[in-house]
Amino acid sequence: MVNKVSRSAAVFALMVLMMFSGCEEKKDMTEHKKDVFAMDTYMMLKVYGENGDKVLMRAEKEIKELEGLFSVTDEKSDISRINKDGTAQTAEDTSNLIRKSLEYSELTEGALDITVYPVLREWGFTTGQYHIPDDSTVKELLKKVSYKNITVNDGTVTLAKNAEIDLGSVAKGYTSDRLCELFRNEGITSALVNLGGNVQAVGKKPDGSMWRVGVEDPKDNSNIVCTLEIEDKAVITSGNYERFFTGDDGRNYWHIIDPKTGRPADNGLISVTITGDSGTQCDALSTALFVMGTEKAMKFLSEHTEIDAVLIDNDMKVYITEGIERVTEFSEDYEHTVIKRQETA
Amino acid sequence: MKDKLKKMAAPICIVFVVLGCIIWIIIQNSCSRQGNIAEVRVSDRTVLRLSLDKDITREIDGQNGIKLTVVVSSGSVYVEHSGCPDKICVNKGRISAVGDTIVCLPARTVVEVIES
Ligand SMILES: [Zn+2]
Repeated sequence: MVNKVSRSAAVFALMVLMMFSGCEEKKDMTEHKKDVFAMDTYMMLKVYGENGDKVLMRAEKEIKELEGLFSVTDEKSDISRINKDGTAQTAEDTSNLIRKSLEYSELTEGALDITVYPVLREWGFTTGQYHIPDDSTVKELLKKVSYKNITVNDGTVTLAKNAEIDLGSVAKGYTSDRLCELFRNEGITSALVNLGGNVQAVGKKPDGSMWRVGVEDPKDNSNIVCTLEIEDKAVITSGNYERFFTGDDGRNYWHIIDPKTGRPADNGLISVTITGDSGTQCDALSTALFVMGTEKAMKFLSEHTEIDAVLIDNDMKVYITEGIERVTEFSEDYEHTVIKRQETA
Repeated sequence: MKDKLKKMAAPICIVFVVLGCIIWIIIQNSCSRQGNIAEVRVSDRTVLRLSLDKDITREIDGQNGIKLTVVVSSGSVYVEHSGCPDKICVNKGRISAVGDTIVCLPARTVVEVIES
């Protein structure tokens, strides 16, 4: 009897010891974080583990380099040179990203179009000089708008019909892809970047749980509609509440322009969140699905199982794809409908 | 005697399991201690840490000559005034959940709620 009790006590003591060592192990995954102000936004980078600070320095350098290539205000950037001269030899990152955005333009039948820039500028979204342009001005500018005016040949980008481009709808997604790639190459197993609301994760949290990313209520950003649990994925939202102005007519005008009308896209959706493996893909498709509107976006999602989405429409109805429903926590205040996926052949 | 021993084994096991659970919970709590803090950073430098348990008002020198007033009251933190042109930081309102942030882009200033 005594023997048995003492044996149990020994096992128990061992268990307690193991628990304490587990606690200490957790502390070794030190958090390193960095604030970066670039691409007109605030970026927060968090990495866990050894070498964190060194990796973050390299990450900041990478961001500044990409900003230097993609900026429309920096005259020396690749994009400025392409827009000014109609053709330019560019860095690999620039031609890669333009090529990718053309693929997404094809895939979404022009709902994503990086040549919408002259219209965006006319509305004042790139300058802060907001105003409602008259119909004839918009009509004239729309003649230059088509992704088909862009050709990429190796590193050379050429524009036809005086088109102008801006990578605002894909640059942050591409940047988070590059950062996560850098972290993985440096042996980081746990990291999270948030580039002005565009979130991308490497692995899980250091404690082994999933990263939790909230989808905000577009009408009241202090409320969370639902929380997605992710691992090695990006979560990117396009919403009409992010950047908008109130016109002289009292109506709100937002920065996501429909390339077909030259006006802020108003096709039923006020917030589109996409989650998937690639930040570039999520960034491009969140813009494109916002432009498409409720019906087309739902059809697109039923056919494209490589991404998951949360759509919110004008009436605050929430639509979510079949795939992520399981790993999503819903607030009781919002009803949601599940978007069924088509069987893949 | 042997039967009695066998009868005793189960209760002893249960007592150990329950004890183990209690200790485990205590350890978990000591690993992630509560008591949140508002961390104020300007251009990636931490300039201030304020406990959310104590009401306080502090003036911050942000970048580009912008001054901000950060207030902690009733367990949450907010930016009361800011010299920035867009006032996005002021309009953000109160935050109190770990990981929440208030950002003033023109002042390169971030207020983040962190765990101590
Ligand atoms: Zn501000």
